[in-house]
Amino acid sequence: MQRRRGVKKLLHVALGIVTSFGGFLEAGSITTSIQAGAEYGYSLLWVLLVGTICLVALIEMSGRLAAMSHHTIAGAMRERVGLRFFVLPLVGVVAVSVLTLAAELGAVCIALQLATGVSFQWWAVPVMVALWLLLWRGNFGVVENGVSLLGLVTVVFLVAAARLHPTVREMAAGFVPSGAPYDASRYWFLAVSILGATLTPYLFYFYSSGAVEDGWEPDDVPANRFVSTFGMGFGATLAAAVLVVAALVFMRGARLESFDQMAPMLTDALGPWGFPLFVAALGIACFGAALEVALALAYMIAQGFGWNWGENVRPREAARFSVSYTVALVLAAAPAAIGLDPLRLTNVAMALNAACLPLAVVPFLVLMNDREYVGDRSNSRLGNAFVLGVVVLACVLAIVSVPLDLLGG
Amino acid sequence: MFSLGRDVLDKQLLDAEGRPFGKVDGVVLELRPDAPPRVVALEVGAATRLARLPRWMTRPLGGLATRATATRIPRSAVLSVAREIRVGIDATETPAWRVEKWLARLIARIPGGR
Repeated sequence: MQRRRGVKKLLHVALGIVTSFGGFLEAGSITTSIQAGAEYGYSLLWVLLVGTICLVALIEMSGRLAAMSHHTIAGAMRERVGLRFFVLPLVGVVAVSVLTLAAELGAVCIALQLATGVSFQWWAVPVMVALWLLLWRGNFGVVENGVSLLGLVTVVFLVAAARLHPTVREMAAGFVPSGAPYDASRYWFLAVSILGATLTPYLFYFYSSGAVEDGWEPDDVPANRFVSTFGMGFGATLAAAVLVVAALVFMRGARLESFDQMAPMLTDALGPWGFPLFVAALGIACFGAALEVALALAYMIAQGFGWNWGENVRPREAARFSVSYTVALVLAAAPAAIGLDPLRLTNVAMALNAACLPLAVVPFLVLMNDREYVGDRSNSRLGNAFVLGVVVLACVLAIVSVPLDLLGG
Repeated sequence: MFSLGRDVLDKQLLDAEGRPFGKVDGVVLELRPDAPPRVVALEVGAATRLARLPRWMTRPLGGLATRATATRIPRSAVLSVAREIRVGIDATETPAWRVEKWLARLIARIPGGR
């Protein structure tokens, strides 16, 4: 019996790592990595590394909070900081998550456009309906794992990077923090976009909800550390691979303004398979991310107001919750449906994610240092300082560099 | 002894059947001339929530705010105060459940909503 539980736990951990790996890439991480690689070669790799370490820390914290307190982030936050201070993160995170959802949905439409030649505008409503049906019909646990496993197709970026034989020494140099080699405002704008795409708040709000639903206990804390570190760590190597491929195949300094220009990036390494694999990876990765964002923002609203919620509840048993993701999906489909460029939308969404990070993270850190929630497993000082430093930096950089980039572009 | 701010306000409320009732949006106190104030009820509802927010946040809601209601749960109905607060009231029969009920009826008419 004991052994059987052990095997089950091991499988759980393995599945957790595989699904975080397969589910890591999404519209933001794909496009920012491509832009960074094409425009600045390897020199922004260090930002990806910093962002990933911070993400691992935040994901680990949200799992630890769930295991120690059985509370979700949003539910505990409302309790701990009170309604007045909860409203700001709620509105901020929900607003940027709707934009992020619009970006993911738009990128799925672009993948369909690349595959069929039919303009992305026409795909907005069908994609929205497909996403909505999967959530509405329930059984999201199965769907989520399935989509994340399909997401393993994103490994093609790693394969392509390996086949292009990048120089290890040059790549290693990219991991050393450095300033902009040229056009500083663009460089820091891309740095912010990478941080925003890596640290999207929906990720850790979503993770904590899943952990509470699965009923994690304090003895799951070590397994959680393992899953978050390796799942997110491996996932980030995919984003790094995207950046490396882009650095090698695009003319240095080329500013890519559309997905059409990005789509052939795998052809050098993978020949005729390159284009369809890029399209499949983009479509599946963004579709999976869209499902997660839609649920995450409905979770946050429902948990903040104390409604019924859950990934497998029937819509009628959680009416306000189900209506929340429905409304979010309709709002998110609008930009693509009226023809707003999904790439621009993605860029804006990632920068705004970065700008609102302190709102999403600072009250969360308060929780992670409160013994009433996490007992003797509160954050280390180093953990607090590092996460706080990165999110404040991301926010400040966003506020400074976004207007500069918009003025310059 | 409970701390109102820490152990009661903004905590999850569960009803008699364990349904999520909402969060404790407000605490109603009775001021007594010769004794310390006493808790007489808990409140759930948009009206209470809106009253706790600064004016600049709620003003844009305009007419919507005036239609908001609140449900008062007498102290005697409180069964236990722990991680969640359990009360012996059927949430579905209170105004706090009005929107949920209305939406659930709407959903029931959509195929697959059951």
